Amino acid sequence: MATFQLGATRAAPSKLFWLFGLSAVALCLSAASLAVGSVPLTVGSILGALAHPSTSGLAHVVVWDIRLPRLAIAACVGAGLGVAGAMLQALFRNPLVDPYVTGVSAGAAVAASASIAFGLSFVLVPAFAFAGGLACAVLVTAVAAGAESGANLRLVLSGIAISSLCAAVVTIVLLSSGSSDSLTILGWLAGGIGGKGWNDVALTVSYVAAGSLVALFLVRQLNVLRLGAEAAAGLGLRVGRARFAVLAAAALIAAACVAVSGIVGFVGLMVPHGARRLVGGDAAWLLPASAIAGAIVVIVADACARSIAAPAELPLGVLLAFVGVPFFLIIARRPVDL
Amino acid sequence: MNALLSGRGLAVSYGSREIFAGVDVSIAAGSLVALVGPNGAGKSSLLRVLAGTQSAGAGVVERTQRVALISTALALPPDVTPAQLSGYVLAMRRPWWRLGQDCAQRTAIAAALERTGLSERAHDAAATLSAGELQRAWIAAALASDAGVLLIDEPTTHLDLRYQVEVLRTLKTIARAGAGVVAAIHDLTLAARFADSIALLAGGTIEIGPPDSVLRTPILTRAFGVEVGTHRDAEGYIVCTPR
Repeated sequence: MATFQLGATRAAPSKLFWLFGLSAVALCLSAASLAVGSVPLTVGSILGALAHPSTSGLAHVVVWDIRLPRLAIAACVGAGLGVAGAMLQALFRNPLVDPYVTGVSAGAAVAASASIAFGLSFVLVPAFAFAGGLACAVLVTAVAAGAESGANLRLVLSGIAISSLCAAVVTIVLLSSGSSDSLTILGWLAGGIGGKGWNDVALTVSYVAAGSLVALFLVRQLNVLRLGAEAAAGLGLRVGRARFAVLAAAALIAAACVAVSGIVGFVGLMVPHGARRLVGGDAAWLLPASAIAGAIVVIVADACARSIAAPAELPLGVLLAFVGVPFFLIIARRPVDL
Repeated sequence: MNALLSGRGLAVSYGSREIFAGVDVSIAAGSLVALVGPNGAGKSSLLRVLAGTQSAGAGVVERTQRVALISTALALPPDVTPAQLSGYVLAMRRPWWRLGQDCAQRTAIAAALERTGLSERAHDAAATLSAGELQRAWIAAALASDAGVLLIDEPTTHLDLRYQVEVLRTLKTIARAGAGVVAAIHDLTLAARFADSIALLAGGTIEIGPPDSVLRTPILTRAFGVEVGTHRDAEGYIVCTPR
């Protein structure tokens, strides 16, 4: 069971202030990230390219064909992983849960890497990733099912076990695919959003938006599940059905993110904690706050990934792991207010 | 009087261990029933079966009203207020496309909070509420959901005497307003003072009746495995004490 600590109720105006504040920060950082990259561009040339989309030239190509799609995907992946993490943490009442721990990311990775190895259309990769992610999440949840006492430990352990199995399957897929496919899969697995175009943006946005729309209608179930499965059932919630709906929506969002960006860990873990501190645990506020905060984290991380060792790029997943692991260890030792 | 909730021939087993069998229960409108019995007798299981959150091994449950089961020993997230808790529960009654509360729902929440004496603390975080107020916040949530029958598991556990009396008075008031209320409690004397009838679950069977027919020395001694004496206080209520 989650451990609760003292906390004060935040009034709606204060929550609204944080949502607007986070949105303003996200917009400023988005603008700043357009100026970051291996090709140096002045603010004037960026503004010129933005103001005149039909012109040509280096600044236009860099801004419209490289940095804007990359920024859009960073924002979308961050928002998606933030929302999926917040949903899963509320669902399992476990602060250590994220799409990776529940096996969603690992299952999506197996299905997506197999799709790449078999040469399937890129449009279908997120759909296969969703099926793989949902299958693993259901498997992990089934293994962890049972009495509420010890459920969190069973969930984390079964998530680790299933994720390890998925990692082994991905390795087999890698070894049995051709060398060019292997390189594609390896680069994708390391986590990164480089080299994406507007087609990828459209695809990712559609899947994440569809999952987020479903999440919007699951806010009431999430809030009741936050009280615990026993209380939720006693108050009339069909717990099994609600859990599956939340799990499926979170899997859809996370799988779309995994399909486009590979395994980008820790965003779904860290972001909901920060967002919860700002707007509290009510899902109606937590989900949008997690979406905006997640977008901020991935936009900043991506800007760092392409500027720390420029002109080379660090894989996004690797960079976030260096920040995420210490964070995970800290929250694993602290009582957390869900 | 018509029963709001009734169960016939109910049985629950865990593995090969039979907890109870052949249990008949009937909850009438306006009555407060105290469910008592030794630990492990199956009080919580019986409440879950009556609420429909646990399947019975045998028997039939008939519900003519919405039933809410509250286990008040459950933790409440510290930032949740009584008004929010009732709002969360009532939100489940809305059509899926309606995201916000309407006027009728806000009125229902205010009424539930008033009936449980929580109007003044409606918007205070759970972390700042007393144990008695927390218990009443759960009860208000059940009331807001328009439940005609409240099944409450151990509403007085972990409470001092003042809050035990406060919660039981609230339950009695709710029952008097027309609901059927079943509360699983351990204190036989408090049960005798507040309940209209006692349901004693022990040894796999149930005995239901007015306090003076169930709370008798031979019955209690057999049920609890320790000699229990009974007498009446100055106001005529039964007092149970172990010897």
